[in-house]
Amino acid sequence: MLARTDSRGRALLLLIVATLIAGGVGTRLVWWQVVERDHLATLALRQLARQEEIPAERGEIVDSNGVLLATSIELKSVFATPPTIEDPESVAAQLAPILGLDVDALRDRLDSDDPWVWIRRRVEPAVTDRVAALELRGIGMLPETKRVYPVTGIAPGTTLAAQVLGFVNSEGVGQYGIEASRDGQLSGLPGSVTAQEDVIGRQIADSIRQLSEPVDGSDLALTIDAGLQHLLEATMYDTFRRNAAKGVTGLIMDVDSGAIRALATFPSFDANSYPQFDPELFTNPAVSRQYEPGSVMKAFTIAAALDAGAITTRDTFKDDNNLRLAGARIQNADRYQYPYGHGKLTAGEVLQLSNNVGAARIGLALGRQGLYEAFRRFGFGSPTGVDISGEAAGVVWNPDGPNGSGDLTAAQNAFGQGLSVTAMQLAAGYAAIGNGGTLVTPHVVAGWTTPDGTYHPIEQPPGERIMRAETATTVLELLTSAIDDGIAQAASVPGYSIAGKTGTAQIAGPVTERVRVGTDADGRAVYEKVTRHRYIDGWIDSSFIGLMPASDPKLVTLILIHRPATWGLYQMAERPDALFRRLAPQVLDYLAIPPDRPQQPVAAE
Amino acid sequence: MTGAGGLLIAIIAAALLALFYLSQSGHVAATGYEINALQSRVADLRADQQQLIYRIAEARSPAVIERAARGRLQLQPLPVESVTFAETRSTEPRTR
Repeated sequence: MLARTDSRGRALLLLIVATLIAGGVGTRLVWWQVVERDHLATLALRQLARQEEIPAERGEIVDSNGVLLATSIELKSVFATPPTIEDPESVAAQLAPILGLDVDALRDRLDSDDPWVWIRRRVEPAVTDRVAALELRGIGMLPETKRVYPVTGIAPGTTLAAQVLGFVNSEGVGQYGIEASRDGQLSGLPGSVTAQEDVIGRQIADSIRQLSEPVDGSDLALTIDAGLQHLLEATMYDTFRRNAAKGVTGLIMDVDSGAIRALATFPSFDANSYPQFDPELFTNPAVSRQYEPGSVMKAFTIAAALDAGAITTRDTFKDDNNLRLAGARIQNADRYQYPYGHGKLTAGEVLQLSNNVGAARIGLALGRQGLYEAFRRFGFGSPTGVDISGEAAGVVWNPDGPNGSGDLTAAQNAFGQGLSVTAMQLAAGYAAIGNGGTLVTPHVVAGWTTPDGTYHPIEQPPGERIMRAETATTVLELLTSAIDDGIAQAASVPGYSIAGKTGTAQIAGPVTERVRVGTDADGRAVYEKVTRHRYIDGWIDSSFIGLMPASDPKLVTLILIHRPATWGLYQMAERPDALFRRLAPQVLDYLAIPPDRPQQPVAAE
Repeated sequence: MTGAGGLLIAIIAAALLALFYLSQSGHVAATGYEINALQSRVADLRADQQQLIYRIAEARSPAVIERAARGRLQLQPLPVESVTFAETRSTEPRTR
């Protein structure tokens, strides 16, 4: 009996212990499974799941005919995990020649304590295939997107319209040009996904959860015509070399819409390998460089005076090659041939002879405030609003302001000195003369296509009327006579009427001079070196702007040669007006614009 | 049917269900890896396609064509003076 009682007692004891243990385990389970569930699940997900960004595809850039100018491709980047490489010497010796790297430098990187290093990023597929074939332990590859610019430029080591397009840096951000100014539109929005991974990092299929869809970037269509761009680049690069110039800019713009059909600048760069180039090359001088334009401004002086009714085309202005204002003397460029000037000149003759004194007198006839306000109305001193990043405003001083010198400022401005403009402002101003007096906004983006395939043309704001239509027509006629009968006959094009103007201006810069500052105790002169900002002999900007055909202008073409080493108005290897004569027929032929002065028309049915 | 028999059937049914679940899970995982591999293949083919598009655009560069025309084909640009525009006397369509 006693034994049975003992057995029951032990059983009861065991039951109590087992119940307590089970209760404890159960309580703990409830604690982990219910109370701490969310916290533990989060910790577990952190270990197993990864949130990854799904990059959006950057939009392409095409020209006005759909020619691909910029796109993105996937390339592989080679990396290494140095701790897993057993023989860095051997691996470096095998890899370096394939990747074009220095063997010693690569061996040092492979021999480092870093857990993970890039070896070379965004490598051509043919190269990565050779790397993969080696099957080296500790060497791997990851896909990365690279922005590429497939259209080769005419100059060695350049891509077409590099300064118009800009480029995308290694972080995928647009830099300079259209890539920068339209970065938000091109880049789109990345999406994200979470997924659990297995031990070797592969995503587990039924664990993938898409958090947000990526929104791809829009494709941009430019107003640039790749064929015309090539013609312009070929011509500008040729003169860049022949003149041994510091830089050249060429621009072709539609006068009615402000659409830029071609914009070429040299020196240029290869957008596919931009890190190898001087960053100074990345800015577009057509919009960012401000310079004294010289005589091309005379057309605007005459337009301003005619528009205000201050002069007529029959009025004459005395040119004695000697206009003195505020202690300064204004003379003509042809002062050595005509030391006493040309006598009485009409506005048309002022343009034909590119006469400084005559232009100054026309400016003064309008009045200094009238000329200043007209120049501002014509767009000088304000950005044009062109959709290329880095645009400068230029500088036009108020003659009565703190930086002005009264009539002297107006007289100098009248023939293009004492103010600074951009090539884009000049082209827009001449376009207004060509289109009947409306200042249009220059632009290079015609529209964009969203990922759903819808094309959105960009509606340009209506241009502002800056002169009467009659004024524009009159100035256009005067500019036509400047080519037909003036000193810029070199710009004339057989079969076509051309309206245009040349401009040459010296460039100011720092000049160090030895200046006498007094005498010493012995009465000997004491000199000091002083750096002053003044015009430098041999530094010029030489330009030509032409409207064609003058009878019904379609295009304005600007050519600017900056600091030709073959200096001089007459010694340049090729002057801008002569260059225009070489370029214009190619452009007119390319765009199939028929002659308006046909010499020998061919009759056809 | 006795209680023990019912319990046995229930246990067998539960075991079969568990086996079915495990086989389906395994199948889903295997299919997932196949999908991953196919996606990787699609990405590779897409990268190849991008490369080809790039190469075509490069070959169509006006500068490349001009170099080939001048060099390999020995062509010269037509002198601008030799271009003449025909003047159309009539805009009416021709009829037979």
